[in-house]
Amino acid sequence: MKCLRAEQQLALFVGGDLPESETAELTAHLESCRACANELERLKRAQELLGKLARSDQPDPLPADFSGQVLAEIQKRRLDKPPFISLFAIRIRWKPALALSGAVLVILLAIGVTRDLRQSRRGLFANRTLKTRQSLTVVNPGEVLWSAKFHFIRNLIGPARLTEVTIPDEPGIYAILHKPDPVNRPKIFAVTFIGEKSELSSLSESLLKPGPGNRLFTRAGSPDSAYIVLYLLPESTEEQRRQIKEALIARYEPDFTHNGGI
Amino acid sequence: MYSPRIYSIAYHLTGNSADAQDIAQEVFIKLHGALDRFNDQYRFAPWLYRLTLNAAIDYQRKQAHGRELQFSEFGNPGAIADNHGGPEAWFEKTELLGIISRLTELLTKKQSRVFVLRDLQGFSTPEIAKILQCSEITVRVHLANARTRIKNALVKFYPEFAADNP
Ligand SMILES: [Zn+2]
Repeated sequence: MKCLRAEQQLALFVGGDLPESETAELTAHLESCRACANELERLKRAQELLGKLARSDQPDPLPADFSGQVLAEIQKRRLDKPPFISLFAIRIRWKPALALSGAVLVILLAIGVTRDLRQSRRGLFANRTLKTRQSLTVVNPGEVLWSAKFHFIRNLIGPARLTEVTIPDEPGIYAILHKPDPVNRPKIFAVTFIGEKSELSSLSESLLKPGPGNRLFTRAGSPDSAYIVLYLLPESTEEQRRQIKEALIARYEPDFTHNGGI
Repeated sequence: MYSPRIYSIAYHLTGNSADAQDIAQEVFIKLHGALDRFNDQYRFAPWLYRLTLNAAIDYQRKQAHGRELQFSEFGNPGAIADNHGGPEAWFEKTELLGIISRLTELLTKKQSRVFVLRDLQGFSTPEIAKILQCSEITVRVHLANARTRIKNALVKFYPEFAADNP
């Protein structure tokens, strides 16, 4: 046996990691090779020293409420920058721009959108794939609404036709939109209603029944021009959802703030 | 239930309690997001340890970039020479916080992962192969190289430590 080969085996042997099939060969070599026997001694001392070091080099104890801290951080990140708010905030941010000409406004909107996306990428959705298809259109004052299509995988759904969407069984916030002028400006949306649910799927019952009594559809003109955006907030509390909802309502002043039984 | 182990791994690689807590927290946040993908512990625990190792090693390498292990970090060489008990006795008396992380820095990433799991965390070779998704032979190769490197570092810093038996 060559010492070079023994060297690798010794490093395993010292911690009991050498397969049994190779042990006999190594032991025989050690009997006859002083250099390798000494090498084994050094490895043994190194292992012992390492054990001592590892025992004395210990971190401070974890805080008693460490798991509580982690859960709080998870919740915080989830609610810090909801993409839904970011999207809607575009309208607020550029309100002074309403007086500007349409062409300038489009550019400003585009900047606002890009910025918002970049922010949300850094936060909660840092590791999620974000698909965007932006189709910003010239809009008139009073009808400034985003018309880009955003889709955060899992957490943001829509805008999708109210009559076609499958609503998941999760807590979250929803917004009902409509197209004020679907024929001439098919990509422009206006906000009709913003609400929150502990189970968004329960909306299917109340919301999705077109009829003369459903003001959302009345406002939209026809069921086909009513749309929904869902922002899923798994494990959110009612209080958290309500806060986001109130913030959105305050900013976007939807057509209705109450809608019967919804 | 996993947090002490995760925290300990992160500490062995960062050498700093606050950084180790940050890493443990990030691991648990990732874990939280991925929890529904795991329905049995068989797949879950290895994944968790792999995640921790990768996060901590990435962090360590970022911090350590361009830095070299200095002799002085092992303490005053004169004081060691005066100490008749040799380095072992000296280490017993001295608290060297973060020294393990500086040692693991000397290894390649692959060696470091195996070394932390085997010699610092006490996992078996088959367990490590599962965690790192490689063969046991690969684990042994990295382990042997890691131990040799650690031993060489210690020999370099403590020449008397390397003295051969007569
Ligand atoms: Zn030999």
